[in-house]
Amino acid sequence: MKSNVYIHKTNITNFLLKLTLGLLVPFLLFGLYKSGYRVYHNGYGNIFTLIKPLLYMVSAIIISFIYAKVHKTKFISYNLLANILISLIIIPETNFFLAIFLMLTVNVIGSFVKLNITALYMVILIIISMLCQNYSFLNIFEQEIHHIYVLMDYLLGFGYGGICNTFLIMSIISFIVLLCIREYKKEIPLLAFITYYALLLVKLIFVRDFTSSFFINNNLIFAYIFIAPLSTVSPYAKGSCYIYGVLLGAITFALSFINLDLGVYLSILLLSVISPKIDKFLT
Amino acid sequence: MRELIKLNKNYKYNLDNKLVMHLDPDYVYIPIKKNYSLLVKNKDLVLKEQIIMENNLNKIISPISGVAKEIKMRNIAGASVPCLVIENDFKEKTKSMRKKSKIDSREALISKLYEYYFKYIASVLETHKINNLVINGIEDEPYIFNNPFILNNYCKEILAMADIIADFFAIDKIIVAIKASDTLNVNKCLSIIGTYPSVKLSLVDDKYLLGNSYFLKEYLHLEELDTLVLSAKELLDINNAIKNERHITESFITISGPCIEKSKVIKVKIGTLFKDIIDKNVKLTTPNVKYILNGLMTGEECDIANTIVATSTKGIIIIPDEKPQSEVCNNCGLCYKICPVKVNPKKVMDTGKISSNCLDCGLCSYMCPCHINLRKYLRGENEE
Repeated sequence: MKSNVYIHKTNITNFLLKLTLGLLVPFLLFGLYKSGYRVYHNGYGNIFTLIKPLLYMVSAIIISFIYAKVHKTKFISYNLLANILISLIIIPETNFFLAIFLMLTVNVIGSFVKLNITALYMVILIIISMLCQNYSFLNIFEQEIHHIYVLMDYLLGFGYGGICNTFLIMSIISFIVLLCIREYKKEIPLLAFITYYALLLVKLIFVRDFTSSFFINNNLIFAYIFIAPLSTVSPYAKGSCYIYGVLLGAITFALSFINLDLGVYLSILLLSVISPKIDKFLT
Repeated sequence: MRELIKLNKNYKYNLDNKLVMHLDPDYVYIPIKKNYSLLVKNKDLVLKEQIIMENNLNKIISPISGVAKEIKMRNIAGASVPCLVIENDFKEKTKSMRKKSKIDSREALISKLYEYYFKYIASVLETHKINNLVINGIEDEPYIFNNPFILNNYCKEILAMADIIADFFAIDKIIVAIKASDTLNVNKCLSIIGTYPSVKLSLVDDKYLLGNSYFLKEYLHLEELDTLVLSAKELLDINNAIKNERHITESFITISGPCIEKSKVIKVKIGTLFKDIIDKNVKLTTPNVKYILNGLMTGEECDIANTIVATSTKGIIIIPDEKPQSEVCNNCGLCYKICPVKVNPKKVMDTGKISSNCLDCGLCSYMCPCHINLRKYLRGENEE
């Protein structure tokens, strides 16, 4: 006799995945405008620049499709989400072929080691950019005009960040929507935000150093909402998610003294590696 | 109060509201339990309710009259056990005429309960001061209808028996617990309940596990120690024992599912082979089916040609024979979040260490978006 359960709940994870993918569409559209059309229109790029965000997205989908075929898994999966997230957060002026090669590389690494491939991608890319002295999260057009941006511009999604992840208002709306979904690991971003901003406030009180990019950082906000709670590489127990969130905020803050963007992705990467240990310790 | 959920019922079924009888099987199969001595030999004549096996504590009786035959292996509750085969002579001959003894005191009632093997109920009534008696008319398993069906068909007998027990043991309150969605029983109980002033009707949500007495007590805010929960079937069996001096030789089973014309609740002899019941009472609408013994949440696939009805058998659900497709765990943690007793199924799956607290309710596997058979790991059946 074979014991099993022969009825199943409607696949809510599939719903969460599709919802998250749906929420990322406005980011792509805004990225096409901000990092494509605006750059092209102002004479800073060619036709390739115009569709570059879309090409990244298509490449991510193709790589995910190949991954699904090779591993015999479903196409709409967390791997697809991770690759699409990569396509949205790539440093704007990255060489296209390097970006795709790296995407392939992290997928191969992710097949063998359980870690957050999105965070791994960004850590590698930021380090390569730093080494090549080509490190800037502003596109070529914004590098010229960012000094005239005001707070409203940042809120509307202009300024510092990846190729398609700067749409701050959409990030906030997405977070509110995702908070309503039971299966979204909301404890992680909530605790991470609370810890990071609490520590930043303490720093502000004691050191009296106000750096606006530390408060409104598109990479940090986007990563905390979408990348850190990726189900496959984050803890599953509620208590572990609390610990994970607090550690994420604290490590990001600590690493921000070196480089905030690197700090965000490196802390997510490190915690994704130790998340099974957190679960094991707490359950 | 822990969080319980309503189950999705994806399969369509068509329930026959009439009780079907299947009380004349050609053969019955009586499991020979360990430490029991067999009191009949091959070709011996056996009477209905004759003791055929016994040990120091229990006796096993024959559900039919007939001739004892050979011993065959049959499946019961997931295990293959040797069974004594009795060929039915269809005469229902019993040893002697039953004398109906009068129950006039609580001691007499308790002694009757012991005599008819309701030992647990007798010991609870004997040792605890019970203030609430709950009649459980709920069936947790989707597509199994035994308790609601029994309550609907034998409502008067069940309430009368509960009233007798309440009188003898000074029980303040009798609560009939049925699902609010069970309109047939709501109407039935409302039409009878006026005769019994101490009986109250309690409508419960259509949530999984409220049929379990522990969760039902919690839901109804009743104390664990002063509440006795008896299912409609148990009360009917007690009624048959006390009033009619009848041992439990019959049981109610549900045969349902999307692959049959009409789902039915069938009264059968204990020890009947499922194949006989299904062949005579059920018309399949789909050729490729599988048979799930005791329900889709807590049951298991079985071979009807070898599986027999036992006292604990709830029924068989006939569903399309589709291969279950599972994926790699995506770490969502839903199995752990939903577990009503906070067992960590993922940890059990990863480490192989079985938890003794597991209720085997199947909720973890039901919730799993990757359709992983977590029940298999929790039951220690992970070795293929």
